[in-house]
Amino acid sequence: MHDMSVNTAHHHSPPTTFISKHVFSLDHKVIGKQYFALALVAAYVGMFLSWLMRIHLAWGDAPIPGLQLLSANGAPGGVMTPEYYLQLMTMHGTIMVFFVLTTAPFAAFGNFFLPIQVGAEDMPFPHFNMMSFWVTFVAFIVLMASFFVPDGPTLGGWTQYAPLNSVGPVAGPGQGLGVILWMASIGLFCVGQLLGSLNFITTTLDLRVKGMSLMRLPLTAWAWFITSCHVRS
Amino acid sequence: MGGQMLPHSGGSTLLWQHLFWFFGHPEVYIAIVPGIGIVSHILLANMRRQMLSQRTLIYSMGALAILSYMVYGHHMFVSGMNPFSALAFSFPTLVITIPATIVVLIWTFSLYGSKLRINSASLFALGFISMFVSGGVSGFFLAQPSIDIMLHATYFVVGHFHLVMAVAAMFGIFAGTYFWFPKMAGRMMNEPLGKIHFWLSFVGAYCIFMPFHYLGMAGNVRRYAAFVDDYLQPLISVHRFITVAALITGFAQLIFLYNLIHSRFWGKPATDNPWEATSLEWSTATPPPFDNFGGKHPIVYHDPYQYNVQSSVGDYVMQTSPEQVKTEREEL
Repeated sequence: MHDMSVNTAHHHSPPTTFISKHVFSLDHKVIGKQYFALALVAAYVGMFLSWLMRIHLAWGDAPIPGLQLLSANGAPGGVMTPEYYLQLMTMHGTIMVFFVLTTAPFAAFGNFFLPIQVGAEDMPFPHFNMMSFWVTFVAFIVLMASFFVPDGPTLGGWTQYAPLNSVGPVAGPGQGLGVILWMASIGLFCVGQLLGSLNFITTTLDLRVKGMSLMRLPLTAWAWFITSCHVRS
Repeated sequence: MGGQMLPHSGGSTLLWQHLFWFFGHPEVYIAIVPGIGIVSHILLANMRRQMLSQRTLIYSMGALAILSYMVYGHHMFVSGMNPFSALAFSFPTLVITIPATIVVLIWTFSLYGSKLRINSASLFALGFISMFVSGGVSGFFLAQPSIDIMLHATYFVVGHFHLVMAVAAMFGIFAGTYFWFPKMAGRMMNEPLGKIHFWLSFVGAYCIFMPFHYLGMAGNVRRYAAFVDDYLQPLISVHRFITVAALITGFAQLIFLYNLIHSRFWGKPATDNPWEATSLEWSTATPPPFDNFGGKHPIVYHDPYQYNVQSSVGDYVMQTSPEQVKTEREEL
């Protein structure tokens, strides 16, 4: 059983300002809620994109009012072009897989509840934890930014198969800057999750309280632990 | 592109697929494994008894994680890689269904005969199992190269992964939200709205994604933006049905959003342990103080899920309670 004295001293004190409490917080609970909020926003953006795609599939010639405001070239008169359909599909997949399905069950709930379930006061590396969220946040902003560059987001699908992703604008709208932003976003996202899972693994292995053997961990803690080993490798 | 040859640039296109799926396949397991944990956690608190075998459940999750590195090639059966690789990737893909099936069987037989408490969280946990199984069954077909050649890149695949990975993980998120919201926000969520949200999402998800399998078998390739070919014309009515279902299911998610925001500010204040659950997060205050346990260090005396016991507080004993209780069986 690991020594109690290791985690008796809390290594950072309670925040005093609004910024350090709610924005750049070191508290794993606040970071968990921030992840949850990010996933919530991303989920509704992704769902909205799926609505646009579904409406286009069912009534292909019907204009969707206001869609031309999002992309004048992609949806002239509110009717989306086949290329723009692929662009929306790519963004739907990317947003949902990375920023909802990974972020919410793993990063959001894991951040909030893993330290509590093992009996720790916080994650062992709170600054890494804060960085993990903000890097993920920037990744999301970078991905969203590709909606607003001239050719729009990439159309290669969330798998980004070559050569569609590598030959530039000749492969279709969004295959220039859109692909670069997509790549940057996924790269940032992986860095963010790496920092988070480093914390998860260390918390599970080192910060368990007295009496909490590995086999006494709740199943959620096991799932998050296994998942973060996964992210690390 | 557009009938023109592309200039060769960069590396091998096949290498990209290998690299992408070596990353991408484990990534989708990252999405589902926390869901498996969350669902087990929630079912345990609501069925008030232990899992058939906690240890096997943990090992199965570990096996899923490790095997997920060995199966990624099943995305590439038609990519032009060596046909023998298809066989080599097909085998572990079928093997990975074994831990997945074990997990589902443990859930099912632990649920069998239990007096499950029905609330939004446990309903979504059951929904997770349903989606995971329905989506998993089509995985058996796709895992075999000879069948996959027909179904590759059709709506069958889209239906498969949306059920098994997307909707299932989403249900895990919803279950976790209904279950943990009291601890995170200090207030309860609205139960009737949660149940309406569940039934609309559950029926809606099946109405959307089950017809996808039919579309795929009818030859509808995914990523088509319009249906200009003759053989696709009869399928448009199916697409219209799916769209209507998707719009309704989407509106159901707005109920969830309303419930979330409304409960955050005006919900009924939550007690420390509203679900009578045993793990450490329920032994601290609601919402937890800055250092989680208010300057104290909890000491753990029990296995995580001691339900169906006789104790001074009821049919459960918290992990942090020093009370000695008689258990049905020492499982761990």
